[in-house]
Amino acid sequence: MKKSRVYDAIGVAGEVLITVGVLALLFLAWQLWINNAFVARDQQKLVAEQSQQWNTVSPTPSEGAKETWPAPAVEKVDAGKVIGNLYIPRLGESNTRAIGESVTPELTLNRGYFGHYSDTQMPGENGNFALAVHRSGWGTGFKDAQLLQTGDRIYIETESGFYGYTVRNIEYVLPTSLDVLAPAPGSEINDANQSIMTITTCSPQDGNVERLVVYAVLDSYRDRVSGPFPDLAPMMKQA
Amino acid sequence: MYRALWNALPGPKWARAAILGAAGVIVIVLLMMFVFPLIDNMLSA
Repeated sequence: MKKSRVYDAIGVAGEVLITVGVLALLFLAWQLWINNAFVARDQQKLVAEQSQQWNTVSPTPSEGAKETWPAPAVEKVDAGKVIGNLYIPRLGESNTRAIGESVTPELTLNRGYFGHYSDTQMPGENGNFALAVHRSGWGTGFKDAQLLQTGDRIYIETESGFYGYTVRNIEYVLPTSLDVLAPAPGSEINDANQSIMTITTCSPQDGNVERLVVYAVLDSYRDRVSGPFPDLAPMMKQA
Repeated sequence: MYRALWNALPGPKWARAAILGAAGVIVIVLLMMFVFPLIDNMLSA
């Protein structure tokens, strides 16, 4: 009788362990694929809606379109609100995400946004427009960030127009290197009058040991009447 | 544990299997909608 109870207890313990294992696998599947796919879909929908709402003119570059310079500074928004849409052609035409104010995970990062470090500058202002984004899970649009190269274009669409950035350099730093958020990050090659965009994300792809940091310089702007940059138009149609 | 649960369910085998299947789906949906996001937020905090 006693022996049978021991066997029963071992059996229950085994079943509990198997259940915990299955739950852990389910959690991983949810984190890596299921939630990722749902959040990414929501983000693409949000970008398309936002773009349509702002789009008072056709998303095709108008003939003889002119760039305006200097680019106007984007106004600050409240935490959790959308600043603009981010397009990175190198990472795929359907790879569009919104930029949200704040880097609080529940407000922006865990909802697939690129989150803006609120203490840093805005696009069009001299200084550093610094963003953070998840590298894996949470519908991230920056999983393949390692593919970015110097000279690649990155675009931000706002209510007023289109900001064109060119990737200046990419570096890997420790998570404690907060100087990447300074108004003039990487000071050796920086001009304090430049408008920089810094995107920080985790590295390696499924780890957290380092930060991959992408620096881009604002070098062009088109207002809504001029329409988007030629290589941005296909991405906007896709969105 | 699972044997006791199986024995506690009413009806023939196919009805028990259907009840367990439906309960499993509900549990998985609840996990994915509420429990996993909570755990992930706690882990990333």
